Amino acid sequence: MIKTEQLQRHFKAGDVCVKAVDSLDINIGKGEFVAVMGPSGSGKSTLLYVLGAMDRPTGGQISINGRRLDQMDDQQCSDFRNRELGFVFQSFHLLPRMNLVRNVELPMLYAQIPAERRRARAEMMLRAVGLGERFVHFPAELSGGQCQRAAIARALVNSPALLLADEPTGNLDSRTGLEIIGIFQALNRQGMTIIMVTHDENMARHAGRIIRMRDGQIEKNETVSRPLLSALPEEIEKSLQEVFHAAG
Amino acid sequence: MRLVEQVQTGLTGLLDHPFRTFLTMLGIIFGVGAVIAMVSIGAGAEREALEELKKFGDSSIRISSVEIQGERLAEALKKQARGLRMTDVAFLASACPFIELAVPEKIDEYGFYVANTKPLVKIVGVGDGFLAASRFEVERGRFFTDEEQANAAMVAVLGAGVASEVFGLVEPVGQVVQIERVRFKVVGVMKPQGAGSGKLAIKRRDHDRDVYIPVKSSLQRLERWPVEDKDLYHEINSIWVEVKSGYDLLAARDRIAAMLKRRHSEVDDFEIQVPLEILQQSQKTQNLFNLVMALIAGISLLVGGIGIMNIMLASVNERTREIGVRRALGASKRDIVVQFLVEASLISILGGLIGIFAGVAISWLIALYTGWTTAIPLSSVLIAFFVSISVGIIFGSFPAAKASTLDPVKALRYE
Repeated sequence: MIKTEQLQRHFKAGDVCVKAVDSLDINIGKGEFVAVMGPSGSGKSTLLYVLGAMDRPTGGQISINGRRLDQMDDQQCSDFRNRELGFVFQSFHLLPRMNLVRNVELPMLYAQIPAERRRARAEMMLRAVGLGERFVHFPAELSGGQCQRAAIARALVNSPALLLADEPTGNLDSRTGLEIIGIFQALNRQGMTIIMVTHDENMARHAGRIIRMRDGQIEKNETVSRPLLSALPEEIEKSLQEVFHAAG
Repeated sequence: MRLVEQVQTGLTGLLDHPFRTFLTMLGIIFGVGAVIAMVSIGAGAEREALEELKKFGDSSIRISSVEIQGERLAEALKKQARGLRMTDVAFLASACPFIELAVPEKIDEYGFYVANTKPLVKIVGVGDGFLAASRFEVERGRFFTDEEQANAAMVAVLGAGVASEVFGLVEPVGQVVQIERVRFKVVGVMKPQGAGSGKLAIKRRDHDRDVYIPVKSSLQRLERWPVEDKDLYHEINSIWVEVKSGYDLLAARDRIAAMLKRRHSEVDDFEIQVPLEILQQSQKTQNLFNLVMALIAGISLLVGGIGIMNIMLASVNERTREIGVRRALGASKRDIVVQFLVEASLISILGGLIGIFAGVAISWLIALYTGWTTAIPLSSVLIAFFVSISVGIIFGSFPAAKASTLDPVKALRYE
């Protein structure tokens, strides 16, 4: 699904060239749950943003589902972000002046989905992540875990095949973090490809593979033989299944 | 993202900071309001001038006496000049083939008595063709017949104001009034004319307070005694001249001026006004006024536009992270440009609409408290509105472009 060859993302800082991602070859298959780990400045977040078409590589090739990201223009990148992948961020990045439904509707606005369908789908996604009673609440009225679940609903609303998560549990306590990981695992069981950047070894152990980075390069690429399992309330698991079946 | 949704999003963004939005709008409100109010004054003046021109006619020339005194008077008398006289009227009518009508007018402030009252009026002696030249109309009764004019008959036609003041509900036609020691029979009442506003810079008195009598009656029956030289100099006050159609009005004016000056021994004791020319001059002045107003309004709108740009730049800064989030969720650069342009345009459109209402209200208040005629041309409203939209788009473009070119990753990490 995801293939990079000699992928580079270098930054110029004065006369110094910072190699945030340097000659990276990665292969990630469809339906994989990959955790990317590494110390600060190792290039893991940069890699995630390059994979998410938010940042442009300075060299090498990158293809997702056979489409060359490094050859896309801005409009194509925007469409790709909108339809092919979902982002989940450490600090949720919900827009504070919009209620949850309107936050979740946002990607559909850019996909030009009619208002009625938008509303119905946003409500369905919020129900799927256990926020059925919180449609008109504003982010400031919710706990961190609830905000992150809303952010996941927003990321999934256009039925992407790939979910990119940048430290999704970084701002949560461990119990709530495990809930989020539980949702990721449930999504992964439905066939969704997930790449998650994390500092937390325990969270990373829930993925099927861990890529360890240092100085912009892969230090270690290890398969987790027996990933940890995070239990998820049955009704959320069931409703996520329904959402995926409905999306086909 | 569709435009309707962009507008909804923009409105939501603006309503998040209603006071700030209102303050930003003020520049546009003042600019547009000023344009509408100033144009309404200009257009009102122009309309009034045109209406006055209708009263004077676009083929009329007005010759008025100019009072001279002291040494100038002595010199004029030495030159045998005798001011504006009835013989001038007869001369112009016979010597100028382009003249349709030449009507003398003699205005005096004789004592006017009715019963025991002495209302202040002007006694106006007028010659044949006065109604045609003045475009005044008789409301009740009739004007003087040719015979009455020729015989210096003691008949009078009252201005509407005088008639209502003196006679109230009593029918004035048939009543007798006294001018100085002479009794005149009222044969008619004029239609109300309204006081002149002077927009054409032609001296117009309140014709409703006139009492018209045949000019010969005024000259032969009402001479005051004793009189000074200066009072004797001009026999009549003015001559209303109507030029035949097809003749150049200004050339006619020059010809009349040259002939009269020769008759008056080169003494400058009269002036000639052409209402059409004065209107044209007044329009030129009006155009200059409009240009100055447009500049002032333009500066105001420019300031308003800078205000919009300032606030939009602050908004882009404030919402940097939101821009990053929107980009991450699939917004293209174009979507971001449109989002901020729509917000800037909404400020200017709403400001423009409020400005239009404010301008109309100011114009109405000016008319109410000053008595000036104001008029709001639709074109000025439309131009003001479209200019305000343009201001929003022009001054919103830079912040919008700045927002769209933000690096999405940096924008997301912006604190």
